[in-house]
Amino acid sequence: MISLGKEQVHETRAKEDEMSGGYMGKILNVNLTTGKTQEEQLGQELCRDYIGGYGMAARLLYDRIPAGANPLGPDNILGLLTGPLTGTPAVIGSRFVAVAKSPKTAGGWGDANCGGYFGPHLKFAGYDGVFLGGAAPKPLYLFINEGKAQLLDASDLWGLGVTTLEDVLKERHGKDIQICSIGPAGEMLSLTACIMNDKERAAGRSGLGAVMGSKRLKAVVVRGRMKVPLHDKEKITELRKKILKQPAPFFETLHNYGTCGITHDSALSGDSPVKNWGGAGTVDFPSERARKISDKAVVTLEGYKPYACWGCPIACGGKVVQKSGRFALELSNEVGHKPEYETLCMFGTNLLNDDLASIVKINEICNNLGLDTITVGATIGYIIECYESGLLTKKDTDGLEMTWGNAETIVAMTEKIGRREGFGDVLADGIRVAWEKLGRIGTEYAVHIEGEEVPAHDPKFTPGLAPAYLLAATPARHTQGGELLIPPGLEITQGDKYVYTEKAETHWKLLSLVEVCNAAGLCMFGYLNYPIQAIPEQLAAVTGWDYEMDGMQKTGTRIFTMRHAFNLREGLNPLTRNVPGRLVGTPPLSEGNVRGVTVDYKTLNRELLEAAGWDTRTTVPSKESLRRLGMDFLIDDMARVNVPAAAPFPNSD
Amino acid sequence: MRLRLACGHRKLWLHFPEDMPVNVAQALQSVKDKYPEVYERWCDSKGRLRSSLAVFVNSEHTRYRKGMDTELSDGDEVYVIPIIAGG
Repeated sequence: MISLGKEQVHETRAKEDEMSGGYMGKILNVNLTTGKTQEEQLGQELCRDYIGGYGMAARLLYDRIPAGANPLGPDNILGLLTGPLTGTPAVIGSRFVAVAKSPKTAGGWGDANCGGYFGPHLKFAGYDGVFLGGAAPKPLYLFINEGKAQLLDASDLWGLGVTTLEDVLKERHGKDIQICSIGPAGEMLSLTACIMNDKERAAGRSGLGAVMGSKRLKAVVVRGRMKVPLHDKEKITELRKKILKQPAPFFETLHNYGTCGITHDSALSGDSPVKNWGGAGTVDFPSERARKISDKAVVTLEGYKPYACWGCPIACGGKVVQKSGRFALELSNEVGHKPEYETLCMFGTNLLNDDLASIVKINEICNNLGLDTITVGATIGYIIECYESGLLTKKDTDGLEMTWGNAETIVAMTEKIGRREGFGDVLADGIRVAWEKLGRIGTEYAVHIEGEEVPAHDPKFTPGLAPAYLLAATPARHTQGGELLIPPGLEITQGDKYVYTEKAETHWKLLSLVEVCNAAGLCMFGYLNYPIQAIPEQLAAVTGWDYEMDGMQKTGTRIFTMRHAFNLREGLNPLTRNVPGRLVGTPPLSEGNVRGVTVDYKTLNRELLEAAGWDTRTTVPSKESLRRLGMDFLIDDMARVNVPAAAPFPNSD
Repeated sequence: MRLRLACGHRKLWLHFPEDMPVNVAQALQSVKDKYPEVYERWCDSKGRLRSSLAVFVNSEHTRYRKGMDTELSDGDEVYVIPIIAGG
């Protein structure tokens, strides 16, 4: 055990009148270089203005990560943050977020949201979040046990897959722990690496597994039974009952099938990518194929049992058994996690692979090695298309025939990527790096935005996704809001989705509100199923503060702006991000249910920036917009940022 | 005229007189009395298709035809899908 020196965890807690309900009141700061830890009391103002999660993290890390820091260097800080509703009776208070400067997206803001059990248990262990800076001299793991933190030797754990790691740690510390960890992929600093929880829940995006690996931090283990303070326990309990009785538009689908319930429909509709974004579901992956990897096919797998994250009534996850056949599972007594929509799409629809067993196996590989399934599936899609086009041969791909729908080679290549073996080493950092290493071949096949592979929701089907993908601090994220994520009860004007003007107010509202959901520690599926008014009501009941919709939107806008400011200070202008032609229909598809569509993302973006009061060439927020949000502290910094100006929008004055 | 109305794995068979033109809107309206729980999921109080849904006729989005006014033929399948974000 590394000596913690004099700065041991101490018992000082915030005074009763300094912190409201929902918060444990403190963050643990860990210096992995020196081995020292320090508790930091949370201030009310920070919590009120940024709520929690990545809102709070963006505000704090803006001050603490120096501009220009190497994302894989000791100056980067990895955070694991909860929100005030995490671990409370709120619907659905299961989430935490991992944050850091991202090594995957040009050193911009990175975050990845995750369910499971780690978030609530981090709070039960005494903390709202933990920040990990520096880099350990040798592999370590952090163990937080009822408010006391220790850094322990992980030399014997380094190299273990996530599944075995969790078993070993539970043997060592007891079954009542929860674990956040990386697999071998993160240890090898692969940008496709993610951070795992409960063996099979992933904080997938932004390459944060590599950040954790760069710090030689194998795991964060938490145990505790502390109670999350609630301002009005009776009220939040009553709210939960009331909310759960309300009709929920997608509850049945998610409860009965999970997100795999939409795989077939999304292939049909044009929502999901087909054949590396260049195909059409009705032609290349028609109904009879799509059904093989969707809804009933998935939940009737052997041994299927639903899995629910902490406190969740929906239980969209699941466990399945696959004991035999060429894709038999090898870990955890042949029990794996039901593949979710993104995994089924990126390894199924996107690769023309209708072999469900292979996707279950891929899920096991990715979960165990700690790989983001969106990123890896998309990267393999790029390679398959290069191979099918003759740009790559078997000589390049270690003898593997990388062809559409070739389940065996897709599985084999996934494992190679996870272990950085052979050609897998070329692919282990995602499409952009692979494209560079391969001499920039197949550019039109390389579908990513600023280094982040695009999830399985097509802006040609939902044009309102384009501003989220292209302008939000983390590029290529369907969970950043937009017209795909409209909560019940929200009054907005929608109209024809292929009319691109006069949408800014709606989009800005949607982008802002989802920030609050994410920062509060709520699951997106609660956001999509239950009336939006439930969020400020639950926040008020838990924290004791007054929350209402207008204030909520302003807070969300503040969080969105803070994350954006982090990028601006790094010299990153989202308007200069690459926009893959296939993503926006340039040229348009000639078949399928989004044929003929070219998304006018420039009009959407221009109007949004104008509505936000951000410069339409640099995206720098105006002084007035910052003052409106109470962000005067950013005015001088934003006046100094040095970002490349994008070309003027067409039809701009 | 016999039509299939589907959502996920749920399928409803609808029958209309042979000489009666039927469009998508009418097909959806026709379930109101017999399957009110289905109708409520598909249409709002004014009978409009909920914005969170998309409608296809024989696997083609109605946008490529005449929207809710798309006329149907014997044996057509009207497929309603919810637009949900998957993770």
